Amino acid sequence: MTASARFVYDEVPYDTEANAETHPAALATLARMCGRSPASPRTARVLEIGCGNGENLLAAATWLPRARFVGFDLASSAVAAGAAAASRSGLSNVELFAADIRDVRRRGLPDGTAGSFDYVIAHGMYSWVPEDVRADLLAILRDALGPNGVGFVSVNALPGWELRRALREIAMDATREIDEPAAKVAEALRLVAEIGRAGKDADGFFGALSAAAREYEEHVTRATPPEAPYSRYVFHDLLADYNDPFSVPELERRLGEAGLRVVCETPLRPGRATPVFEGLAADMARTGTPFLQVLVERDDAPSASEQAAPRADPDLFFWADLAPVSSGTYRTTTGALVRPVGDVGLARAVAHAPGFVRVRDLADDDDARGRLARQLFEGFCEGVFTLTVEPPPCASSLGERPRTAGHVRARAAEAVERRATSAVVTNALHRSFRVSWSELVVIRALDGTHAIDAIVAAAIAEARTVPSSLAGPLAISERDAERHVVTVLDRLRRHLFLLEDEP
Amino acid sequence: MTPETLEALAHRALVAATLHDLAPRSPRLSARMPPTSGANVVVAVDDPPLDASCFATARETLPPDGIVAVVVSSTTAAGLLRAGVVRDPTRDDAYARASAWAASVRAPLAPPVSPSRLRAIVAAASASGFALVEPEVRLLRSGSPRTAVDRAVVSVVLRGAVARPLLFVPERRAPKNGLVKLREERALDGWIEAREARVQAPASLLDAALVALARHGGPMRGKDLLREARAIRAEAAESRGERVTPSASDGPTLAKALVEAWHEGWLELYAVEPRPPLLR
Repeated sequence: MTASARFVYDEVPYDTEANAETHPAALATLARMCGRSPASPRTARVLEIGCGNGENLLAAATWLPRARFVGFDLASSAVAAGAAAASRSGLSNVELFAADIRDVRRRGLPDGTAGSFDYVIAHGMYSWVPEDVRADLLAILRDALGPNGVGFVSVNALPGWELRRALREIAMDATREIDEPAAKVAEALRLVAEIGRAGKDADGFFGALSAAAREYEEHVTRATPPEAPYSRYVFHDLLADYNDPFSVPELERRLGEAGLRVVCETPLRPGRATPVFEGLAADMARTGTPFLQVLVERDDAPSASEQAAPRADPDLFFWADLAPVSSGTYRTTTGALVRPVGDVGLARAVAHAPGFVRVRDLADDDDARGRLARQLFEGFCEGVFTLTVEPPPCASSLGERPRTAGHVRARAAEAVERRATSAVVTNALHRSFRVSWSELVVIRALDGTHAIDAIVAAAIAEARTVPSSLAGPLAISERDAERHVVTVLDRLRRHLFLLEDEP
Repeated sequence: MTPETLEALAHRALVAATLHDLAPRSPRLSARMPPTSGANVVVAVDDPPLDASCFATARETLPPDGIVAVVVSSTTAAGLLRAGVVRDPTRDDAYARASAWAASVRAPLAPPVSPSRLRAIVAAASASGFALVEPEVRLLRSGSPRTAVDRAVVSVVLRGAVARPLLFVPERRAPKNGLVKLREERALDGWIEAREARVQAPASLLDAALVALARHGGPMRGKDLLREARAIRAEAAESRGERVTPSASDGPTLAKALVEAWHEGWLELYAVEPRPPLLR
């Protein structure tokens, strides 16, 4: 962000949340699949350029206490809010500071940190800063990365973003004389809705644009937290001062000029897991994906010349939350149905769920191991299964005094206190879930000092202080409350929110 | 820009002027700046960028009924056409529709302009005494923007995907708020050409017209096209055991559909016979 953007992001805060694809374990996993040797996420040093309120870092740091996280952003109010949140969450492994990218480029990274970061994240930045800042951004990323470091860069991508550009052009033009952010967003969304309605039956270009408008409306609904006063996402995206898309070749050229090279796209997509960037431009032209995220590395990285295609790796750990649907059939958290008929390895994997198990240990011989690794890799690309370099420190069973990470508890406590109907919490795999007040009350109590009975009692007591519409099952009866708490705890365990017992 | 493209843009400019009742009685076009002697329609593109001096030159040279047509396209549409998008017939999302559109468009591509650039062109024209004229934006249901430049921005982005002429007239000739009426019926006074047959079994009058154009293999006079289209429609109806009689609304209906197709870029209109070349 730039000096001119300082006011904008301070005036209209961006609703930053955790992004699963930027988690060190997610980056390490893909890097490993591409034949790299990334640092262990548990002890990694992570930098985020343009961290906003730091939530992406805080949500990871709370599960990785031995790792170090540094973030900076031009929006000083967001950084201050993030620092306060880190303090409330008891996080001592996060450092946030306010700075302009251009100043950081000129003065260098904080003492002794150049070349020391294992993971450097620049999410939602490159397309959204002025042209002269883009070079500085990539230069900082390059300087920060260690020899085996992995970077993350995201951009709006061409040609898929062209229709979004049309909506942006109309919205920017129509709202150019409106100063008040909420009114600006309201007018932009009114126009988008109008285009969506007016061209419902149209053919040709207008028909396509109208369909894009309807798709954008759905996207905005997903991207805007229900408690937000208006869509600050729209303000910082469709109506942003800077928002330029890039084609695959152009992005690759710019990365190359900065001394960086692409490792792979993230997330991997089915059918796209081909050697690195070859064919990606054509694939983007076919699919019209409007957004592109890539892993990058220094062009002098030890393995940089090995442009290996992402591939199955039997040393990765497998995880899937597979809920039984019927005999031999399971449903994942993504809604996919898995039926491991006639395949011993996959059946073993399913039987092991929701625990983490090394892929290698699921098959008896090399052939079976290779076949299983490929199957799981395909499932990983489809988003059905999780593969990771290191299992997170999560409990596989419900202990006597369950506990969750400090930042999860702190967010729950804050939401309970302001009587929010729901809030977002992030698990050990950096995946976010929106949970209700009656679940937040349970999460708040998971500090490892309360037995389940005490958690139930505390939840009931808290529920008496709020309207029954908010308290939900906690307000019905003691038995219902107890059942609710046990259900919530079980769900939290399955969704990797409970820490393993301390030794 | 090739002479062929410029010629095609000149035709689009003249069609736009005709549909808005702004074309001089005997149009003499020039794509040069300053215009060639005797020209009364200047056709320009924003490459290199037009500035106030360009319009000032035109103002000095053009007769009182002269017009300047700046032919533009939208940056979005230009990006899609340039990118070589590939149509995926199995999908029906926005991008798949855009790809299908891009694959079907053959019209000449004028240099793209952003809304801010369009406003700068209008400002430059205004400094030399030219006013932009624009019809209502019919695509939006909630009403058209009040000023001509606002309407032009919306129209260029929404449907100016294919070379779209922005028409400038001397300020004293401009109607209030630059609002001009779109006279679609004038489309049948000129010539029509479709480059490929898109219809197998004609159901509507437009379908029948497209069949007629495909059979003809070149530009047809509007009135001939209407007659042929009616005959083909009647023939097709008869083969289905139905009966269709010509109606007084056939002309306006077909004209409206032809103008719509012209805006979308898969059919060409000519205000004057396409041969000999307009620009000499």
